[in-house]
Amino acid sequence: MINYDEELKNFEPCLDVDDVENAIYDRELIDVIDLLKEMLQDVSSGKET
Amino acid sequence: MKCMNCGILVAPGLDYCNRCGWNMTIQRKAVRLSNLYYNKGLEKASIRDLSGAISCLKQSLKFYKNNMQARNLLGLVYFETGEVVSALSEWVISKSLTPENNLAETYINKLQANRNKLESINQTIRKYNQALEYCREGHEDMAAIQLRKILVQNPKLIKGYHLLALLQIREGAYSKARKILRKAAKIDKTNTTTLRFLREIDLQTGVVTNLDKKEKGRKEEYETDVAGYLYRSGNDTVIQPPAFRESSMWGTLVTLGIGLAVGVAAVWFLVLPARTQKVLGSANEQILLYGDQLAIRDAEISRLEADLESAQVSTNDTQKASDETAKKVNDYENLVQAVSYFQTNNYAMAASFLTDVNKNNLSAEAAALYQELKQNLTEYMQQDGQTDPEGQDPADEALGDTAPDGMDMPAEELY
Repeated sequence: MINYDEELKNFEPCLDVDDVENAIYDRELIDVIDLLKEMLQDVSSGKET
Repeated sequence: MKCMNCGILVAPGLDYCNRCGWNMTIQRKAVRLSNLYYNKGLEKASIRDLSGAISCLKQSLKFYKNNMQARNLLGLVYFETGEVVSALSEWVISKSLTPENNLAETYINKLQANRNKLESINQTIRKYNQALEYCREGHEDMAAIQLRKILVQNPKLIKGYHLLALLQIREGAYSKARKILRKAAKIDKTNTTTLRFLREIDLQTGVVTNLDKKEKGRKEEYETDVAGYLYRSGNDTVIQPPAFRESSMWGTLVTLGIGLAVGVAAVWFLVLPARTQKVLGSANEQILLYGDQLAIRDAEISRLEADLESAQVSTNDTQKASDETAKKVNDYENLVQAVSYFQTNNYAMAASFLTDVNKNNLSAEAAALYQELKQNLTEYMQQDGQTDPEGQDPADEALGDTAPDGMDMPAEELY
């Protein structure tokens, strides 16, 4: 049985076209390779220390 | 491929970057996985499984954010579901990551070129947000009206369909909600919200929603072992026997001949008698008409003949009367001549004229005159002694019984 109020909470407002700039700035552009790079950097900085 | 660490171009066969020693194998594996997910996303997008496509393409970009094609496709899919801002974001990011030879630039330019369309879409987004606010405030009827207007202007806004369907499910208008969700399913087949709501409607109504395309006459045909074709029409399986096809020319000709013969026979026995009857009927009518006209003319002729006859008779009578009148006139003239000669003592001529007079045609006075003249002539001629050498009295000879010719013959000779 669908709960109207619960379902309503799942609905979020759509972004306005004027808010595209903020939406892009807020986007996280991290992929697996960036994670690997970070991990390797952590490992190499950990070795140095 | 560029080295992710230092950015120099590394030859395809090398496993390590020759500048910084970066392990290219892992990078290549990540790129391969990204492409794999991109291909899956493309496959799903092509069959309108947009939710599945979004999921795959996001995964693809997680492995390799510089996958231009995956990002552009993701933007397209977002645009198709009504998420214009998300679409624009992806295209802008794609263009900034890969500025050259990028389709994203084309998409952005197209969108910006049609300002009115963009503004219209923006309006629908604002109205959708307003409708959502109405729902949260408890003004569901106003929200429903707003949502209907939005969906007319922007029929691709899946969120709008979902919200409207939710409102209708709340009111119990399951059939309306089903219609709305069918439209949403046409845009995105496997959207979880759509499927969830439809399942709820199916449970409440007891009728399972069929999302297959309902085209009139559409059927899946395939041959079977049985002679004929098997196809599905809805929930029924129909076996259609194969159509008979004439293969030989002679057979076709014979069939045509039989058909022609049947046609001619049908015309001869069904059509012609009726036409003949009609023609004969009209001919009979004409004959009757002419007969009547003839009868009228005959009657006219008879009448005219009778008139002619009566005219003839009257003409004869007139002629007869005229003849008699002429005779009378002649008799009177002879009498007058006789009197005239008597007065001049020319008794012979007087007697001659007197013999030509028919005393029956005279009037009483004229007859009396005739008789007197006859007596006088007789006396004078006797006095003069004019006798016939044969001993007949010249007076009698001159004044013989002036009966019409033939009347002085014996009776038995008259006949």
